[in-house]
Amino acid sequence: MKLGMKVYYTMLVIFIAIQAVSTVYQLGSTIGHGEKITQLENEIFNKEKELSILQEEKHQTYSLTALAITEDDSYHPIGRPITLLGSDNLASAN
Amino acid sequence: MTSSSLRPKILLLTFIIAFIGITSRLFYWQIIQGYSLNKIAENQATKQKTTLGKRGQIFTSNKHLLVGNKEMYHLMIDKSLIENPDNDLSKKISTILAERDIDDSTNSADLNLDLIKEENKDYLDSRLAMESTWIRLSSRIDREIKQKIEELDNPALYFESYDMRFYPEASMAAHLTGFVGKDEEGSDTGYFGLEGSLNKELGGKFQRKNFFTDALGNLLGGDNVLDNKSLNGRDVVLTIQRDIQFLIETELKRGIEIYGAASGEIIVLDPKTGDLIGLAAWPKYGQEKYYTFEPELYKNPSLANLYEPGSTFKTLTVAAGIDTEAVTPETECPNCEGPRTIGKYTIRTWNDEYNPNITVKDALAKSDNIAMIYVAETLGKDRFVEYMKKFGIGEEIRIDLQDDTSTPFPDKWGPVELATSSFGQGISTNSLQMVRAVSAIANQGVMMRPKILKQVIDHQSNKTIDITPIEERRVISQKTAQTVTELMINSAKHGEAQWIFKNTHAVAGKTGTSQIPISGGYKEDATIASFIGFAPAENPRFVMLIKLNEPQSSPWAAETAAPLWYRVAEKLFLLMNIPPDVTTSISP
Repeated sequence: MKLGMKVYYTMLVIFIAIQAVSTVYQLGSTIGHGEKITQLENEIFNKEKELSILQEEKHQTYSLTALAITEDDSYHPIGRPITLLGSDNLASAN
Repeated sequence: MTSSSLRPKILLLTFIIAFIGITSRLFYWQIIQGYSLNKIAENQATKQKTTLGKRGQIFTSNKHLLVGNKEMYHLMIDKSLIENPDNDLSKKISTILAERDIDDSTNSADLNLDLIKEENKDYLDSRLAMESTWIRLSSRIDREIKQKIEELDNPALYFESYDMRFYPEASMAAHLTGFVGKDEEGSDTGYFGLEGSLNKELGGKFQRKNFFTDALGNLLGGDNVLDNKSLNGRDVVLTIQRDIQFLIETELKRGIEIYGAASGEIIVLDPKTGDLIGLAAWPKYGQEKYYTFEPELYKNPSLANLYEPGSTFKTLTVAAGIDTEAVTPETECPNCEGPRTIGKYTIRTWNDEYNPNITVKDALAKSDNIAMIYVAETLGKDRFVEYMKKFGIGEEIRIDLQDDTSTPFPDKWGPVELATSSFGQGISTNSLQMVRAVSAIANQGVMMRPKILKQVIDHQSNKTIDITPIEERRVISQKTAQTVTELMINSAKHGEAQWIFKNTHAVAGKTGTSQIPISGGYKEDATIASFIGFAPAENPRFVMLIKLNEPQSSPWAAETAAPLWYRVAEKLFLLMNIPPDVTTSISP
């Protein structure tokens, strides 16, 4: 085989090999990227779910209606307000 | 020709034919069939995903959740996965589901656990006997019930999740929130109240997206990107204050029990901004199980129910009279010495007592019908009608509640209509219109548009939109508003409800006891008792209307609605941090 032919075939093989490696790498990263997206989407979904459960529990716990059932009515109306007409306390003096 | 010279030609011809053949096939597949093949390839390599965002949440003014979402589940069975038929499966599930149904039951007659279990079992057996492979066995499964069913460890059972409205405050503000039901296509839709009027804004957005996948259906990268843009509907923050809403609902229920009323309403509004602070109506319904209540209860009575306001309307008549300078507070009524006969009707005062030469000021305090006729007649029909329209009687509120609509305003205005309307009979309105009208007096003559939305939170643009107060119009002059306020303070102090007047805060108020119209006349022995007022009178923080329909303990507002008004107001002073503005010194 002539030298020129040898060089030609060598270059061709190298080129095809690079192309093959590049294609495999690109496909691999595409698949990896897809897996990453799926994983992140699942994480977002799970976190949102956890957050919504926590929020549901928080709102349920601090619901006024629920608290009113358990707490005593400690409200006592003030019939006659006390008016402070004067004070020796310097902090409250005008 | 030798065979050696023919061979290359044959070879060339073969190549040419092969080339033409391949080229024509390529042309056929790539050009002629290219489009359809491309579509087939796309279909094989793409997966479609549809997503629906969550419905927007509703918060009270201090960001407490009023209506949210919670995840619920459908219990499903895949019959192809049943390896060892479990004859007791329906029995086991029905026992678990009975716990849910016991909690759901509001009727004590339904509280027969065995009966519920039996009914559930029969239902499940009938579902399991169906021909399909995938069968929905039950819905409304919450996390706890789901966990218990999972403990059965049956591989054929699985769950499908869905969102359901969640009400941490139970049925609080049901007439304001409305509820979510299904439309004809089975999709979630809001009905009544905010859910109805803001259905589009609250509704989650629908998205259909194509993904590139490999042969196994796994997501591929490349053009696919992580999309975390929210599809959730807009959240809304209301002007409603949770503690005040809770207070007025509790007090209304108590008041209705004490006074034996058939129904009632309490409305609290900030006259300076038009913010609706609270609105309670009784009887009410529960939003979560709305289908167990009578549909009549879904409507907001403060918007949907018309009533003749009675003497509370006199504040508007007097305001119109003073604003046009037709009368002053000191103007005396020249024909108030007895009943008035107009046409074939004789009009009397509520207690059949007459006050010759009574002033407008005293007439409001004593709720004198005859004097009000005098004010309206002095004012004249046209100006009276003009002012009632300026006060918004008959005009829609323009609030974000589905029941909001304009109400009928009389077309015919003869002497009788003018006379009866002057003291609030023969003219109908709704409670919110009445509150809006009186809030114009409280707000120095300027009527603000009642609003229920404080903020709208858009998750897609990450923006929070503040809803600013809207000035509807000036109804009366500032001077008139101050004069009418003084007359209303006088009315609260010296009127029929003076016995309950509290000496801590200046209250401007007016009682109203009205008859209930039925076809051909008025209902016998039945009244609507109401009290409308605002406080502190000089710098009002709230306007409040209390309305009790058909109270049994007494027909009079002064003995029913007024004491309830003061009881609620006293608590509002504390909740809204309103210090006393009328002080009494303590004697040593």
